[in-house]
Amino acid sequence: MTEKLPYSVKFHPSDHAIVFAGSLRPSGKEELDPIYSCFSEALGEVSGVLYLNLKRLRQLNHTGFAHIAGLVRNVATARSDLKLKLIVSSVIPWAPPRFEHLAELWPNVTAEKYDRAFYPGQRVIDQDDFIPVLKSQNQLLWSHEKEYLRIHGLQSGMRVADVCCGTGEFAILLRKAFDPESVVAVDHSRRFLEYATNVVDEFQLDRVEYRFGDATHLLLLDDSFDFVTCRLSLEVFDRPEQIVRELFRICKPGGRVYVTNELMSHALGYPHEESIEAACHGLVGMFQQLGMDLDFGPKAAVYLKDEGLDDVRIDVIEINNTNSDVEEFVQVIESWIDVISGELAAATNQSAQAVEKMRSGFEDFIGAMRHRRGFAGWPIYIASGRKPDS
Amino acid sequence: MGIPVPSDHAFCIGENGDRDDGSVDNAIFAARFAIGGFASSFRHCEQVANYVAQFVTSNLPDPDRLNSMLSMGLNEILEMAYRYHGADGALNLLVKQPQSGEEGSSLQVVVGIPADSAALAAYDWCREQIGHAQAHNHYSNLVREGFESGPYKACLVELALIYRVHLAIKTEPSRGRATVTMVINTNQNEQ
Ligand SMILES: C[S@@+](CC[C@H](N)C(=O)[O-])C[C@H]1O[C@@H](n2cnc3c(N)ncnc32)[C@H](O)[C@@H]1O
Repeated sequence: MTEKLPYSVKFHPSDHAIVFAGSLRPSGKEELDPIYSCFSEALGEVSGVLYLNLKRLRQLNHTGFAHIAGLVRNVATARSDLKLKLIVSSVIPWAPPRFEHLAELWPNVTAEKYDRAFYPGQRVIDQDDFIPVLKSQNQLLWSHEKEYLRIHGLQSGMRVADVCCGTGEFAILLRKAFDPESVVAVDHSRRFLEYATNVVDEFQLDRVEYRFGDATHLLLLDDSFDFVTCRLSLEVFDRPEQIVRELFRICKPGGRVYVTNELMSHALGYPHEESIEAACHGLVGMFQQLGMDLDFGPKAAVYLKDEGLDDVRIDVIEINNTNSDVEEFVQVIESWIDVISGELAAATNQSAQAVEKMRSGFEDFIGAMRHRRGFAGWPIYIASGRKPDS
Repeated sequence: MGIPVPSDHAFCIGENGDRDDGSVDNAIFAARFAIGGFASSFRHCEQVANYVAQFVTSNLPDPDRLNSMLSMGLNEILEMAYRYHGADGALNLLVKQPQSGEEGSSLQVVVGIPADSAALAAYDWCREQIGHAQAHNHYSNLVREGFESGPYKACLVELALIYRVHLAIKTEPSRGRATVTMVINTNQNEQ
């Protein structure tokens, strides 16, 4: 009987990619036959570029590295027509230095940290300017969401994971309101996590833990959480199914996965309904240019079902100026205005005119909130599903 | 395999000739292995490295990053010990968290290995490579050549030169022992 290898390697002809995963710690060359075969298969087929996708390789010993380095050398020297791109994850701390060093040795070899440019809008969101957006949104949403969390199955004593936790307010509020066994919150913005950790230290809260990680390849164990949340984040990824797969994996059988997303083009207000509508649609268009879908809200249910969750339930939090604190709502919109006119406008090459139009539309939205006879509403879709018992 | 040692020992774990220098103040983990048993299977390196990394890092900040780094580094040291050791004696393993000083907090791993003359020569070679003025160039040459001149033992050289870990290697021919000390920074924002 042959022992199952602790690593896998596969050549994907359509992507020109050799994909590694698992733990590669061989004692010698004899354990590396699959890698040598993959290289020869790939070299027979590809032209232009060959990717070595190493982002899911969790461990690699020196012997394994020496053999990969030898193969890279052979390709780099014998196939000068081919560009070799080594794709690593910055979440695996030993990987970038090792492969970046390798890339320095040959001109046709490069190394890329994929999660630096993981989703197209990252350069906009992973910024200090975004901290007030996340903070004010969480504050506004919590009074509503607290009730929906209960309805969607969150109970005290549960082990909870909050994936893409941002600045961490949600984990703290949840810890205080639901008394969970623990909350593990993951994000891959170092600046957001630093912010979150400082808050938890200051509040002297136990059982809340922030971790640096990649939502598409979490280092958390299978079947380990009763309730897994991912809020306002699937909408910023161009491939949300990769995250849903991980939410499903870490959820215990019988546990629930809970996600929220906006339906921005359905935000509305009056007076000045046209200007407000134009601003909301403009925002959807701007984010679309960065590969994000601010209208993802109702689509989430399909992703949960496709991943295998059952008992999928949808709810809508209709934030409006009659059921929420108006000044908190105003703060949210003000934080959007700051982002629109700053980083976001620059990243999407907006004309000054377009930015001004959107800005004045959102000023009208604020006006509608504060208007004696005005109305302003912002819908957030909740979708949750149960992981079937195995 | 391992024999845990009470942490109030005044000296590092090990007895008589197998004792390795160092205090057990702030120790998190200590173990002792008969070298014959340890070296009977290559898989022991990975098993011990993963276990110790999981045990030590679970209550530290950013545990996944530290677990990955500690498991990687300790595994390399243990693989070196697996390949280069003397016939008898004990492999001592100690992990400590020294008080955080100016350079931030860190984890210190000390591995004491019984070493015959061939093993001592291998550890000396690593120390010389790491301390050499042209260390980085030498290492790059090893990679370019596919490690043909330094198979396996270059693992410690790679550990010291490519990652941000501090590595110290001591050999004591009179006692037939080598000690490898690795220090990993536990500051969260390091990568
Ligand atoms: C729009 S924010 C939402 C944050 C938070 N859930 C909230 O509601 O305030 C999206 C978050 O996803 C995080 N993120 C982006 N890519 C990630 C990845 N690959 N792994 C983990 N987090 C990621 C970003 O850093 C950001 O904090």
